[in-house]
Amino acid sequence: MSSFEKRYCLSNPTWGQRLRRDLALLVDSLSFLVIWLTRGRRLRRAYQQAQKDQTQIILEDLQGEE
Amino acid sequence: MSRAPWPAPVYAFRYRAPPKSGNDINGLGETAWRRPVQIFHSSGFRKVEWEALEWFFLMTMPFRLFIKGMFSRWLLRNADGAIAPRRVEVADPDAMARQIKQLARRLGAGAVGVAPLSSEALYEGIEKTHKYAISIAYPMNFELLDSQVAQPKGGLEALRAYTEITRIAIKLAARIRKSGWPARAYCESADLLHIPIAIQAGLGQLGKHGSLINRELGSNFRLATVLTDLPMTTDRPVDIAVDDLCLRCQRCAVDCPADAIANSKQWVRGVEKWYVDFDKCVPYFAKTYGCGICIQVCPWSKPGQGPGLSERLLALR
Repeated sequence: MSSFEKRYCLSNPTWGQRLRRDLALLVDSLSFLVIWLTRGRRLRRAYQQAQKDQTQIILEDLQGEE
Repeated sequence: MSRAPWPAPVYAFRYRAPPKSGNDINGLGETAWRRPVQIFHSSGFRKVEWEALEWFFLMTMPFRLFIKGMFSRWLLRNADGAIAPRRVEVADPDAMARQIKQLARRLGAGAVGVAPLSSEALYEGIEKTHKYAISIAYPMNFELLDSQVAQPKGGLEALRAYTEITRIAIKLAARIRKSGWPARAYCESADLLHIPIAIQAGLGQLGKHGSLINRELGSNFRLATVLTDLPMTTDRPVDIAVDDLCLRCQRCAVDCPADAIANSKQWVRGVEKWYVDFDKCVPYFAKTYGCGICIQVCPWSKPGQGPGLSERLLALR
């Protein structure tokens, strides 16, 4: 795995490297937003239901969805 | 006595097979020194043991919190950058330290200090070549948190503080690079630990609730760090009588709904210190948008109380 720092914090970037970095981070952020809006929405509903029913959702099953 | 009807530590989520205890990973009970390992919040450097709970935390937070966190992450891409080719030599490291602190304060920091960078502040497997760490504190809105802690608005205030301190650290690092010295800003979920650096930089002492207590700000602030090679005189750890308070006061321990705060120091990776039970704290943290109850109820966090409290406690010795 590579950290956020390694992927996106460039020490002495050229204009082109900066542009590529910004685009990569933008795509990464938008993908994460889409996940939050789709899978996240299902999870939030399931969580609300579990709170209402006083049951528990299983955290490992959420990771399986990734 | 507990003052507020905090959300109950009842969880609508659980692990089927609990991950390795965060207390074991943190080295609770270990008397030999070693470097810490990331468990929950991660920079992506390694797969963390409590990753499923982190995923749940991120996915169940309200949109305004999620987007604020994403924005901080976007800002952080500028944590490093080009270094000016002509280096300004530093004849007086003491004056340089004063200048950097003034600049950080002008940018909005509530407290700032300089420490030598040591491996104590780095997670296992992470190496940095910088010599100095500038520790920055940014205060949160106490009045807002007083009514909203452990609620979405409380979490939003913490994220606002993180966004602001990210901006400050990035601007400070950029100004240092303009003088020809390397500098990189680090904020939340980074590869380093901000609290040990802040202690070495004289920003405060570790409190019973596992957070730093600053003389003026109490615990009501967030931290960031700038690593650099710019020669500066370093600060020293301070004694503001935090232990004198924490050994007598039980406020955070009593108020913590998860019962995660112990009333005595414990051995953790070779150091006897205040320690918060990770396995009890983090599920509650995930349920309550970042919690923060212990920080809010700490008597030192009430604006204006800190300096007088410190003076009185020191006088009692």
